[in-house]
Amino acid sequence: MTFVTFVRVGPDAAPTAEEADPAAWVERADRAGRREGHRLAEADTATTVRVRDGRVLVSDGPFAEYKELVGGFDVLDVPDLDAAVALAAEHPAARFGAIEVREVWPFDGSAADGHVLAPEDAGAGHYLLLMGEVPDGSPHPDEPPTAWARVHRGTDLGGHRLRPPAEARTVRVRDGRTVVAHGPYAEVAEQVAGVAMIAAPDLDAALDAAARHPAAAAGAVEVRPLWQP
Amino acid sequence: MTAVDDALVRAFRDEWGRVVATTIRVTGDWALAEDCAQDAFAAATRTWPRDGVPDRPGAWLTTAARRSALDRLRRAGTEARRLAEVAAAVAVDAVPGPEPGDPRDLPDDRLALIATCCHPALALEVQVALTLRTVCGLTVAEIGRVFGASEAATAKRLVRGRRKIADARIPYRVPPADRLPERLDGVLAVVYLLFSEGYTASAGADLLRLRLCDEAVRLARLVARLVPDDPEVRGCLALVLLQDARRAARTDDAGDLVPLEDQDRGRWDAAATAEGLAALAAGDRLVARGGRAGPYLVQARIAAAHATAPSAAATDWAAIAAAYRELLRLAPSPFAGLAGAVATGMADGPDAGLAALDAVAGDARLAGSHYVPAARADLLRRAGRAAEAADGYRDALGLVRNEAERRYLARRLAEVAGARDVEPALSPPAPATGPGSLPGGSGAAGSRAAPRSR
Repeated sequence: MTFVTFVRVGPDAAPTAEEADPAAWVERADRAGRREGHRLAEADTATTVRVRDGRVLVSDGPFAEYKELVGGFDVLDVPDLDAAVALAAEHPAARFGAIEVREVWPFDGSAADGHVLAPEDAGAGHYLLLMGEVPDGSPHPDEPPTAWARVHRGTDLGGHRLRPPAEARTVRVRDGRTVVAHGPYAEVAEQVAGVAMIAAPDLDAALDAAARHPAAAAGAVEVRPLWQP
Repeated sequence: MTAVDDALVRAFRDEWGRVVATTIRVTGDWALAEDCAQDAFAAATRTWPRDGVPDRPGAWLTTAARRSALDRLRRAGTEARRLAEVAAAVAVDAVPGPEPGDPRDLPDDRLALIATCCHPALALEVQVALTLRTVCGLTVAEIGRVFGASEAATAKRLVRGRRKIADARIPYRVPPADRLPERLDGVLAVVYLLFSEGYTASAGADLLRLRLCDEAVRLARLVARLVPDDPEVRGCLALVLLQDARRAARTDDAGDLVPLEDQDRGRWDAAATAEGLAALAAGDRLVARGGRAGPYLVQARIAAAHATAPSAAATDWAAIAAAYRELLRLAPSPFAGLAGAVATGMADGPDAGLAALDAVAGDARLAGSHYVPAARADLLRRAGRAAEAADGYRDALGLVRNEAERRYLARRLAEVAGARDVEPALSPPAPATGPGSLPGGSGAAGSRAAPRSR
């Protein structure tokens, strides 16, 4: 089973560099089925794109203002949900933030196609698109955004649709105890419904790609640059 | 002021944005470019009084800023490869740039700068702060004072903006043709917001706020020069000029707001009016050739109807009311609806105005605004319903925040509270005055940019 886990850290968390360093976890997780993962640039570099009545509306910031914003993500191939939760609980950010565990929802009922979201050396010029959709609003598109993928062949590096947020698990470790919460991570109007990675020369090109994605019309697409050291 | 001081002031006003823009292009570093522009002007302040004002002040300043960039990068221990890149860019760029007004003048750097500052991926308050700092050269402290924010908060806002530009890779370039109209909307919104901020508060003696009007007019002129073929750009320039022309007549000696109808039209700035009308005519010509007419051009037409009326009584209210209907079609906004209702009241009588007002007054975006009860009170006053008008003025007084507007409303209240209710049949004939409570009369201020917290 394939899972996408989001690292969520609140603005007040103040881990030391050592506490926050995921290197040891990455090494362990890679052996346990982690396919890839990336840290994102700070949340205030986010831009949100919505398409309404044919007009592209661009705004500063993430699509939902909640405390613990997505700071990074990992893609895990593990036998089951328990294994994903166990791996998430080992992530250092689970101690000062939370790890949201979301199962990938293949479009055609088959297993995830296995393609990688972004190359190992991703950074400058790579953007993660977070597809935000209103869970009870417009129906989840069952069709994969094939037209979009075709237009962006070469720049679209792949992505995943996620199972509904109600099926999410949020993993925190407090005082050495693992606390697993069911349901969406936060009660916000627009929940993450999918992720995609694109390569783009600049933000304008990334916003163009985001605006053409069907999710921009149904909800919102958040465009986040990857972290650059 | 000596001739050199004068040249320094003028150079700062005219060249700051150009020096910053060019240095950003060469170094790709916004904060560095500002520091280098600062260095260049400091050097000019030191050397010009001694050596005289250079023949080409703009080229002198740009060269000084580039030199400072290399110095600063060297001192910061920048790696050799990057330093060589910047040095090469400086060398390529060191061909003396043409002076303003020179037909060879390539103003692209500044358009790139303005377009980047006003990029929609930046929060509006960041766009405004970045534009004032990097294009207009206001200091961080000045920007903070203008918007009632601390210097630290303003500095943080600027840092956030520069960091987003760098980290999210907002491109520093003139927007491509297919994106230009959409990007210009953002640029014009910032220009007009700056103008409104200065204009609505200019009743006080706050010179810094008046400077916002000057900067907005200057920016509007610059954008019109850089993008000559866009009707909305001309419309925005016409709008700010035609409103700004009334500045001297808008307040009395005590600093109180003078409604448009009572303004001494002889004190309107004839040169600004003429420039505004010319910009409007240019915009109308572009529309006739197939350009897009938009809200700025239509608002400029409203302002022009006021500007060209020989007296308040001779104002063509029917034309103004029609223009508001067009404006509401192009850019629906409760503020325009409110001003349009007032114009309708002037064109077709207070009852028509009150009916139009009722249609917009319930809009949630007008909740808590003193303009609604004030406009209603003015219409009731004109209808001869003094007691109801007095209630309206009292409601408005409970909501108004601007001191000059408060005194205006209090004066009107005293007028109607002193008068007995008269039967409509006995009321004065057709109202011969303009919409009093909307500052500036055209109602344009605030119709695009809602008043922001300060």
